[in-house]
Amino acid sequence: MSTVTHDHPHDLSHDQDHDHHDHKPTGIMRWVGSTNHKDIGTMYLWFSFTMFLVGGAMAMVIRAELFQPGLQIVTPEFFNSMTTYHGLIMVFGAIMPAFVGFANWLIPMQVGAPDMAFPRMNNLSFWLLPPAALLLIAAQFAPGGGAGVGWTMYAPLTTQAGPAMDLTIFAVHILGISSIMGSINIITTILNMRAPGMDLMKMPLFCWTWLITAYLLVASMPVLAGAVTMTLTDRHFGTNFFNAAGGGDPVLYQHVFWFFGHPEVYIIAIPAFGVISQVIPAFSRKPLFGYASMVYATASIAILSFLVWGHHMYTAGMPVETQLYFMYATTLIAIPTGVKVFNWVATMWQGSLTFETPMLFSLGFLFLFSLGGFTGLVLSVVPVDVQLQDTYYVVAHFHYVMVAGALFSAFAGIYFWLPKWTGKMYDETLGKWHFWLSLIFFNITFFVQHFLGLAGMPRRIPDYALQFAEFNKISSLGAFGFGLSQLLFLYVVVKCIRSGEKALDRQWDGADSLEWTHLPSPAPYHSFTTPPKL
Amino acid sequence: MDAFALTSSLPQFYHPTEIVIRSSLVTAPLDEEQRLIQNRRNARRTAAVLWLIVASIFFYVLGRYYWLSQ
Repeated sequence: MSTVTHDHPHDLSHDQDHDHHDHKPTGIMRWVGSTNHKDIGTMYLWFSFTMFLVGGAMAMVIRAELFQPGLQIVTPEFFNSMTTYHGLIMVFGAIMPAFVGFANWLIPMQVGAPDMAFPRMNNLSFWLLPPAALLLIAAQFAPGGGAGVGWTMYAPLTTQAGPAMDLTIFAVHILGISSIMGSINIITTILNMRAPGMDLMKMPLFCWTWLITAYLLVASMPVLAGAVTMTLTDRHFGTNFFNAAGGGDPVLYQHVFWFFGHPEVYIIAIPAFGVISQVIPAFSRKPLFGYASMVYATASIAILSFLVWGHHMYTAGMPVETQLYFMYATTLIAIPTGVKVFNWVATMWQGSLTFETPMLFSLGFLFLFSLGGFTGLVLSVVPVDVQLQDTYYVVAHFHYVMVAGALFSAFAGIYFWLPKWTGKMYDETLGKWHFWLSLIFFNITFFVQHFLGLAGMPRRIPDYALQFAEFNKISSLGAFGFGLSQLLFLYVVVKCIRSGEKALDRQWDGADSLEWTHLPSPAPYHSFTTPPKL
Repeated sequence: MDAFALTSSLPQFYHPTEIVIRSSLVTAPLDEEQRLIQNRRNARRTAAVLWLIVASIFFYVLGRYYWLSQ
């Protein structure tokens, strides 16, 4: 067990001598009008979990329909709508807000700042999310149903889709504005509000990963906004950006979208790397191995992510030389990613390891994200991708990256910081159950999808040939189990908040960032109103 | 007067960064006060540059392809 008594050098009661002033607003206005980074972080996390359940319910519809061949439960149009909004909601509504929630909670505490640089903009960037989510859900009830265009929203499908597409475009615009506000807030906070002595190269790696991610967002989100704006004007204002009949080019949309879309993958993955980089050293009781190389590797991944968008469209038509460029550039990403994976392993090497729930999720991340990375390398090879594009192999690949990568990392982070956030300890036994059930059901769901893809099963179809029946049945059973396992997570969190045992100020003895060493548990409503002495 | 005694006299939603700056005017040593004010000014400048970058990229994408489509 890694819990300790107070063995740290700081007397927290002195550091937080304003605790008796720790007033909180009450009632609904505490949340509606909040400018407190902790409240806003909490709202982001609960919002993302709600959207995770909504997107998860859509995944259950997809897997229920695919449980056996033939059309059983939903119409093909509704099935397409489910795949579309499952993707959009999980990416923009669940995973991204989850990590923004972490950023809100942790960055000010980790750099020794009293709050985010722009707390009112922080409030606005959160409160833009619920209307956008409602628009995505409302799109299901638009005339003609939801837009079955895929989360990538390719033209010319989108230029011909029904009114649901307009709601979706509006939602994407709002989500984009929210993300841009959040990232500008994060950059300004980290660059301008660090406590004296908190040099950039002394920051916890989580802050570094979010700084880099925020730059990615600033550079890529306007491109997505441009792509969907062009779609909107093609639909309603007589332009022909993507309309071949009017002299436009549908493939242009793919280029513009993936110029945003590939960095988006790293916008999700890089904060996950940051969480893992906090958790693994804490449970290894060693400093992170190769801190500087981790920073440079993260920055390298971010830069490379803007140079590889073409690997998503090898079969859309491009010269062989261009294919070769994108193939080599894509394989290059394996180098900084490998640096990170080896550094995490080296951190554990000869460490005094213990395996509480956050560490288990981090190790799950390490194994499964590496597997997802390897299948990404497979797909980066042009002749292989020509065979596997738009098959379930791709679906398996990105779910290993998104679920076992980002989601497992988010779980690791939540279990790791719950004691600091709530001042209470979660049920370790149930946490471990949650991990093992998630790990087993995740692999049952997605590992077999590699075989389906290799055998040629296309993605985004509600029906399939009989030869794919067995693996689809296994995958659906795994998905139902994975979905149910997440209800256990909700129970663990609620139980922790309502009746958890009191957590120690420094619950994990290997954790060494400011929120653990300088603040009590739970972290006070206002922290570091005077800068910490570093 | 410390930061939170001051809070009660401030308008609702007055955010903590500004509270620190205001309170530091009363209690903190001069260099700390100047550091906080400088931080705030730099934060606004950084944000302005970032918003400019965002707007430039958005209008570049729209403008470039609108021009090419003519």
